[in-house]
Amino acid sequence: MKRGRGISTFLVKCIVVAFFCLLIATYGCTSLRLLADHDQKTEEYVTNLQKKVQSFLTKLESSPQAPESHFSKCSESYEQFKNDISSIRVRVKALSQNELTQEQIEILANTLKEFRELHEKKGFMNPSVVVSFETKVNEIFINILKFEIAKKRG
Amino acid sequence: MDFKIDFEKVLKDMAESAIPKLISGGTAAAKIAQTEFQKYLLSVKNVNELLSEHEIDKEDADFLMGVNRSALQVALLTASGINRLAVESAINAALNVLNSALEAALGTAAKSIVL
Repeated sequence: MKRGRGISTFLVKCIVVAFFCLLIATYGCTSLRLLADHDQKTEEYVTNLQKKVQSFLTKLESSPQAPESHFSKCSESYEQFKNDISSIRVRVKALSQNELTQEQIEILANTLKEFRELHEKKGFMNPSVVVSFETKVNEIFINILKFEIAKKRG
Repeated sequence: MDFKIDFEKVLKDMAESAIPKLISGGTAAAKIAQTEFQKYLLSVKNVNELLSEHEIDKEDADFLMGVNRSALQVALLTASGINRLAVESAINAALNVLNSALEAALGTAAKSIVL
């Protein structure tokens, strides 16, 4: 009788220890996430778009009055930017806890859209505007990438 | 069963592991914000100069001011994100300390059952 009670106490202790082990295994090993993880695709897509925008702006800067710099000859580039932005938008929206990056992409999309509208209205872009825009749009790209890289954590 | 945790020590260790991460993340975010505000002011100055020298017209200037604001906004979102990452890292560091303390206490408890 006494031996049976000893065994059951031992079993209860084992169950308590197993419970704590399970608790630590379940919650102890998982780390808290306040933001989405780094996404290699987002980084690649943003970098590719930056290259396209840079090459386009270099063309507008180097020959501002050339026929190929007129808005009517640039629709293909603008369509490409639009499609790229659309792919990036879908990608960043698919990831949870990625609202800050989503907001950054919307601002980038809006900035490119406004540039397009100004170009459409003016026909040819003023090179001074192109140079100032280039600096700022690159700052936007850098900050989007800086944040994406920071998400690598550590 | 011997399941003991020195809560005061654990709390102190949790704070010690979390606070430096919060400070470094906050400093990095503040540095980004400060640099970006300086860049913004310089850009505004540059646009005003271009406008006064008639290099650009009013419409161009309005557009560039909008772009400057957008660039600042994106930079501040990055600063905010980096700050959030620091908070996350601080919480995880503190949880790791708690986890280790629990594991150690559990180890002692398990030994007391076996022995």
